[in-house]
Amino acid sequence: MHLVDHEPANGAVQVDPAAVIVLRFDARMAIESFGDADTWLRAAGAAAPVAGTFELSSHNRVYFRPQAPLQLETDYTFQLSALTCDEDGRILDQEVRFAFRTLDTTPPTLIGIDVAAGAIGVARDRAFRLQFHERLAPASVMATTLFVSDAFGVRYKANLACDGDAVVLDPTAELPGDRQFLLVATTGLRDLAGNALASASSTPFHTAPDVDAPAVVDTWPAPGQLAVSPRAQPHIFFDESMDPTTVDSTSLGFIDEFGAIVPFTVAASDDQRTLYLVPSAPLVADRGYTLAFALGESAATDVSGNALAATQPHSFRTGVDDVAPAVTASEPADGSDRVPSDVVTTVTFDEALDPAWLDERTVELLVAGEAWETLVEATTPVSVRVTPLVPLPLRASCQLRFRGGHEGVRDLHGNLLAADLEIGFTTSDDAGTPTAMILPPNGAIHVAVNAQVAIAFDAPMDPNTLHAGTLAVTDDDGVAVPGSWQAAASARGVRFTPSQPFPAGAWRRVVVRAGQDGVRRASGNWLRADTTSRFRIGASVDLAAPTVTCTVNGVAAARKQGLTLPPSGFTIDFDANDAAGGHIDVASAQILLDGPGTPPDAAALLREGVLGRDFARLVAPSSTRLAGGDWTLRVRVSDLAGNFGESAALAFHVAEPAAAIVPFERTQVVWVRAELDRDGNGVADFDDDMTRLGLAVAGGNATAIAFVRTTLLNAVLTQTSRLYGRGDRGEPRGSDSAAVRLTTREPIKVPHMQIALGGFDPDGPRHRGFGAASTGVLGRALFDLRNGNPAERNTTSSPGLGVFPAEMFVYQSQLHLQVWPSYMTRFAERFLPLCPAMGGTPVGAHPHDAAALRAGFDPVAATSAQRARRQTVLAAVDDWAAVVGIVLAHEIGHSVGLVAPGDAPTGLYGDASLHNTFAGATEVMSSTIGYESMTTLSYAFRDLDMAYLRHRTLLR
Amino acid sequence: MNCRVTNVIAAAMLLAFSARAQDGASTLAANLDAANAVVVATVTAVHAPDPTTTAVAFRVDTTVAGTAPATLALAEPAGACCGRNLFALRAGDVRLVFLRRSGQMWHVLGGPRGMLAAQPAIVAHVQTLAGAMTPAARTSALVAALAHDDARVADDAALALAGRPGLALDAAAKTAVGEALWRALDRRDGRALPLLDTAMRVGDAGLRDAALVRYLAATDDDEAALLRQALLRATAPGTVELAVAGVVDESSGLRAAELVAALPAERAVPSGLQMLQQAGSPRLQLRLCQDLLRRGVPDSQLTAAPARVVDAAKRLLPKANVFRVLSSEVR
Repeated sequence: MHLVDHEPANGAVQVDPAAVIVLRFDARMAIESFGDADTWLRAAGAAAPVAGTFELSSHNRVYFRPQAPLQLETDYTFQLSALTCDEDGRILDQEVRFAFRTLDTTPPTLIGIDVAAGAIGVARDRAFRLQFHERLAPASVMATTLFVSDAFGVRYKANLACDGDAVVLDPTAELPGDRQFLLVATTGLRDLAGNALASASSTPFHTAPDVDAPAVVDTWPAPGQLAVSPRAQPHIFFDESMDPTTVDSTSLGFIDEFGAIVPFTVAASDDQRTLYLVPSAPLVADRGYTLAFALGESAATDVSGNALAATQPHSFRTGVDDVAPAVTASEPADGSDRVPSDVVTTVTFDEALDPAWLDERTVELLVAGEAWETLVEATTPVSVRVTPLVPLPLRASCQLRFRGGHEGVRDLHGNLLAADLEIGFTTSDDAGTPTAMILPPNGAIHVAVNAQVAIAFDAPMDPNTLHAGTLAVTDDDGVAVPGSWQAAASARGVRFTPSQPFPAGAWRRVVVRAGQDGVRRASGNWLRADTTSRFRIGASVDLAAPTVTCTVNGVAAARKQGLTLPPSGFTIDFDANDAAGGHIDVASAQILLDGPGTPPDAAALLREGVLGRDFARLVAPSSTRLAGGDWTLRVRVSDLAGNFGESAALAFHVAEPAAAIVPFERTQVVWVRAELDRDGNGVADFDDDMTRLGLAVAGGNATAIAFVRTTLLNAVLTQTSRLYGRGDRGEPRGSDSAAVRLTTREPIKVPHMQIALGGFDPDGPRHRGFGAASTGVLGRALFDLRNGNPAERNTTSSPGLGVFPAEMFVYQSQLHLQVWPSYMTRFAERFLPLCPAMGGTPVGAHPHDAAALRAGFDPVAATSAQRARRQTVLAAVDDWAAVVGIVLAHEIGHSVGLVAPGDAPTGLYGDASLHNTFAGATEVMSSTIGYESMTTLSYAFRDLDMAYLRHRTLLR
Repeated sequence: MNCRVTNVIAAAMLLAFSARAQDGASTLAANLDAANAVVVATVTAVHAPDPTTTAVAFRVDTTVAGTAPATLALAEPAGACCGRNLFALRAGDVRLVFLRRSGQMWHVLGGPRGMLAAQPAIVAHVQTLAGAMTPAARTSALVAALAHDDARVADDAALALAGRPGLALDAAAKTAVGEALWRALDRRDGRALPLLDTAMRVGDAGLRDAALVRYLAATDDDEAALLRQALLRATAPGTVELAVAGVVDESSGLRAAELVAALPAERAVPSGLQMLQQAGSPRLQLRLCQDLLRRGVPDSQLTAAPARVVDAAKRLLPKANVFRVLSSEVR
């Protein structure tokens, strides 16, 4: 169900205040669902929504009629709840917002300027803030519509910035002193509706006197500098803004050692504190030059007319180098793609650069056109390193820019880059950094003389980067060992075969080169530093084959025969052991699958697997599903000496799920009921949990407690939503999202599941406190094969259904009492400062809670104690939400059909307790969990479970 | 309240709770210690005495521990529900069952982890545990089980060891724990977590040092998080100092900085300032500056870092997210 279109359109202006909001859907809507609290129309800045009614109309339209006409000239936002549904209970599943502005025929007016008309003594270097009664159209704010001019009509360059209903005008240079100016706002300024400023405004003011003579504070070239470029354009730095028109051959003598005058023109920086002398022709090489300002009547002046009062002539001598520096090498190279996001860029020039002109103003890294936080360093006289202080985004277009021109990069002789120099590159789509494992490993001794060298990588590599130029085997003197490199078909490894056996007793070294010219992942990412190994050859020949064992799903040997597996998603695990002390080339293993149909390519299996020194865990990919029928698995692995070992054959059966009924004919809405009070003590069970944990206290600061409660509950739902492939606020993210949406409000007219959240297991003993025994049960929910009933009620007390966080609390508290103080559990680490039973100060009782635990907290402005308190509380909330969110996802999973017991096609390989068979530690539908792992590791549904949730695996 | 079963076979009634059991609360060792009896039993009949109840009759084949009757009758509310044990049983199924007695009634202990297929290897292990009468013998049995072929046995042994009060391991046991730990980390096995707890609790500097080396070199963030948590709770002294001294490049520096950032302020600040003196990488400097600023250290004390880096740290501070679930923009 979708919202097809709406009126007004987003961003519409001049909307009739009597207009009706029109919403057009592709289905007939349940009008009651528009009563959800997340559906509203609000004026900008208003807390309360606009009163009105929703009406059904023809052609699947819904009208919203405000009870009263909207205000004129007002910005409004309309929001439609994601739980808005049609008559079949299908929800919108996306929050929709659009904004518009009502009829505005009123011209904007200038209501205030932060300089009084006729003010005198106005600071010459200040900015001016003009306040209007409404926002102006940014496109109308420009130098021709808003400016500062003097009595002669001369306009002064300024930066203009819109700031809400105000505009800030900031002259780039100091204004002349003791002079009359006008701050002019013309009728060219317009509001968002296009209405012109009601009347132009000219605000006179008089600047403060400026009686100080300007002074030269620095020059470039420096006095006495030698070997200056004949193309140099001397810079003169002043202590205030100068009048460039007063600098000419009468006020500044620019002569050579023979007294010849150098004709020049003058350019200025924006603030006019730096003047650049541009000779009309290049200077003569190897000649002395002198710059001397004249004093007196012909002296150069500042903008106020104050003449330069004191000056020293200074001289420099040209050299012969008049060529701008050029790039000889860069990493990454210009035009590179697949560059790691953690790249540190290095650019090398053909000559030394002036380090005084190397900083973040002259060297920028732009990402999609925006400046990125970097540190610029001259690592050598000819090299510049630009380090992004935070990793770059993936798949981003980047430019490393060296600024040209007067204010740009230059060599030591002052040769400027004629124009900006850019090095462009694109980052890869991989945030990881590759690692290489070299075998024999560093420090190995007694390596067989007939051994080879193998290198295994942690991800598929670009085979074009695996060659003798990026990999080396040498002796201790760096002499290359003759031999050949062969990349594994899996692209996870490479093997070196020496032309001759290694000499006994010798040492050998292996180097895997880093950088853009070294080995690289298939994604393009390269190693940060060379990886090396040094090992010693023994005296023996290795003729012993390794022993190899294999299994599936990590099943123990006693139970691994006769298994039935899904077509994909199961793991293939093998271990190899070389009794002779040799090393295993895991990346070149052969995975031999025999059965009906085409098995997945062995190289493809290894490519995506976890490879260790002597083991591997591979996952049968969904891209190459095994056909139904009987299969056998053998694994063949060699050691570095080329001795092969083979596992015993493992027989198993593959059962293919068949198309039938999907679990979600519409989005399954789940109302998470954190307001239930099943123990009848007058307080919601969720809030009782908070009090036990120290996240609330009776009589405490209500605002802080409410903030923490909202944060915790939202975070629980965020964790659960993420596990279902959804966004943090429950929004779907495309076809990979399961059709499960959580809410904490009762859905209107939408068939929905309910699940209780909070308190103890109702089936357990009552009135338990800190240190009591837990039932061991964190949740219980009705299993519903294929989600036949979307309206499950997992809220009863008999049987006890729902999620019971208090059971985790008492279990952790009991564990804490057993091991504290000799040991601190993860739970204690977080809750000792908070939980009253552990001596902590709960939320609401700490003196910093009012300041630290609220929306809009500013860490920069806060005190360290407030920051610390906030960090303490939110870290505890973060952990607790991670745990409870996983349990909630698990219980909801049961009620939508996980994990259907038995093999395919009727089951999802669930066990008799409705959990994953042979479950891994971080699978959501495992029957067991641990607090430590849930707060540390990344949990996920097993891929077969997720495929079911996504309708990619169906049950008969 | 528990569901009350109306039709009861004499002398034995069982109510199945559980579902989503906490692993630490229901290891084979924990169940054995809490159980009044542990049996291997065969299902002889499954029936529904009424529409709301599932009842299963067992014949006890072997009493592994305690004293149990020759037959058992267990019941639970009817219908498939997360964690209920009986609805899927069929006649002839053989189960290892941990039982707790309450008056005349028997209960399964530990939910779905208290009733499991009677695999010979698992039964044998439980018998071994039952025969380990002293704490030292129990510890020894658990250590030996760390290398067991069966995942349930090895996982539970790791969990049980981690939770043993007054844990004391001899040199051989520490070696066994270390080997099991590195193997579990290599395989990204969840067993690594309780093994880490054990390794850090026993105060062995060798285990701690090896874990620290691995942590500083960790490229996988999940593994790094596991190791960091454990290292922070290591009882062997000097962990943070060694981490700081072990920084050899930007990556190891960032890991050390993460470790320092997790310390209480009175330790985090001096350690962070010390690291900042030695940090050469701008990104490491940025991370350290952010952590110190977050702790309230004024930027005037951050002179060891370039001004540019300190400025960037201040600008980026509000956006830096240190939580797993909470958004940096907690509203």
